[in-house]
Amino acid sequence: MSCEFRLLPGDRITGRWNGRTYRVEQKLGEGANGQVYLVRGASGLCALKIGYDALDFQSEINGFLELQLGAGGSGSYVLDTDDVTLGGQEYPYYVMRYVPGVSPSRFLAENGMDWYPVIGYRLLTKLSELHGRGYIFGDLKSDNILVSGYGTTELIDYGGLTRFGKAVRQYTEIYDRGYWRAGTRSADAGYDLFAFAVLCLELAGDGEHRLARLASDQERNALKLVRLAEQLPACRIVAPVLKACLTGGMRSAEEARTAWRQCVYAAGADHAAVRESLPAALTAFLTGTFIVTAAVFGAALYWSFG
Amino acid sequence: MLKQIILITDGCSNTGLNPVVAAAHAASAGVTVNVIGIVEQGEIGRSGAAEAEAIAQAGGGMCRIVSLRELAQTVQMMTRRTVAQTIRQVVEKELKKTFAVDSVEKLSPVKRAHVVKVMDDLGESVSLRVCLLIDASASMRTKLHSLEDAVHDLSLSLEARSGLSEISVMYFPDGNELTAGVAVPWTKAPSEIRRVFECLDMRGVTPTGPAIMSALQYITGETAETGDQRELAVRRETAPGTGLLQDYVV
Repeated sequence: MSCEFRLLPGDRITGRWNGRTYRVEQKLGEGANGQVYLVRGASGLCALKIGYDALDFQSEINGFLELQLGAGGSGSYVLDTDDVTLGGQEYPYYVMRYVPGVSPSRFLAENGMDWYPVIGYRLLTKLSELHGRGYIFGDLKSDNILVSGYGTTELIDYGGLTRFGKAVRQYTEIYDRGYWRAGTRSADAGYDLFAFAVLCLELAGDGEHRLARLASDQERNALKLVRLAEQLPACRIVAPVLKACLTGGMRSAEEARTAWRQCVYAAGADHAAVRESLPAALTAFLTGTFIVTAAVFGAALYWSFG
Repeated sequence: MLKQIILITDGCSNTGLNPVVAAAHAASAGVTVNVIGIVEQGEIGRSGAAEAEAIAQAGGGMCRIVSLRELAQTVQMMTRRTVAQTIRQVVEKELKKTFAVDSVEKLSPVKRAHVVKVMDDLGESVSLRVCLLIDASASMRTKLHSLEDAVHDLSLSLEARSGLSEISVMYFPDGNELTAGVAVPWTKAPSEIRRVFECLDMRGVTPTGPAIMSALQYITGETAETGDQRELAVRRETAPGTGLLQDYVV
């Protein structure tokens, strides 16, 4: 169970079954059930995850394989699965596409809160795709999201992937619908959407601290989260969507996505109206001037040829 | 049906049958005993921790010493792992016969993927009974709220399973008796469980051993007056550990 191995840049990993070799470039992260490394294989840079417990780990890989099967070969998640011996002990690992990026909170800190609606929308798009294939992501949280470029948002770590209707097998308390006494722990669209809404609160300004305070309260409930969504300035424009996600009012990620877009566009239009109020007056003035000028010119022509 | 007792305590037993012996009785009847020792400012002490560990070993389960904050998660984790491990034992027995390997890890990744899928499906669908056995001695009084939370949390997860899942809560000592009383009888509905602890009468003695025996009787459904149930229990004892599941797996 414990992590008795540590791989250093330059170390090589050779699979026992498939025989492929990877060279470790750097460590990317560490989770409850494994460590992730950036490695270079025959086909270039990839991410390699080594698990502590072969069975839990295999469940995670099975999730990927089922997704892959459902996708009909398009979008392969797992490139290789194998075992490696480290310090006399066998560990399972799998290799996946390398996704560069930073956590959403860091991305927002570096690029500004204007990107907040973009990231939210892209997340809903990802969830909607996944739900379309019959799965929920399950363990949606900040640690499992990477943002890069112009707000490109990717989900990583599919350990919580659960088929619709089954019991959610991996979750994190603070994002868990059951923990907030707002519903069951069965996999449905609403489960992911609840976690999504909590994540949105966490990413909004000082939301993280206020969320933590609510979470440690014995009398925690979803209504307190709704109130927080209404209070946080960054959440204000999408507060109706968050409220619906927190109270089970959204039937699907697609519905949430549409509602999110409408909120953002409406707020954007208001924004635009304010910015354009001056030029609009100017335009009106210029148009008026043109009409008067034309009229005067027309009259002048009439008189001169009349 | 998979049966497990989760003992939640914050100290050492001080009266009645040795709890390690009681746990061994449970193990031989195919009931797993897990132990959670709650430590708040180091109350459980060295002897308490050692006893907790020994009970879990004799009961074929696991032992964790945790803070109140971690209680709910620990109860969840133990329940899930116990189910997974029991299924694993059965599956590995089959593997020995068919593939001549003694553990799932030794299979090739392709075969392992198939076997783990079957195991996961079984884990989700097998019938399950969890009895939470709570030490209601005086020092536990301040922890009731967290206990309620943990029980509620577990019932939420059990409710989401596709297999039959039942949960009950017992506490000890029960009044002046050296046994355990039933706070919540077998239920599938988590809503029944909230606020059941308020009525508990907290006492000074800690008869952990006799309490485990009470829980064992309750979980196996064996009571003194019904002869055929007793017979059933004897039959179970002939196939310790995995016998119960074997029937199910077929």
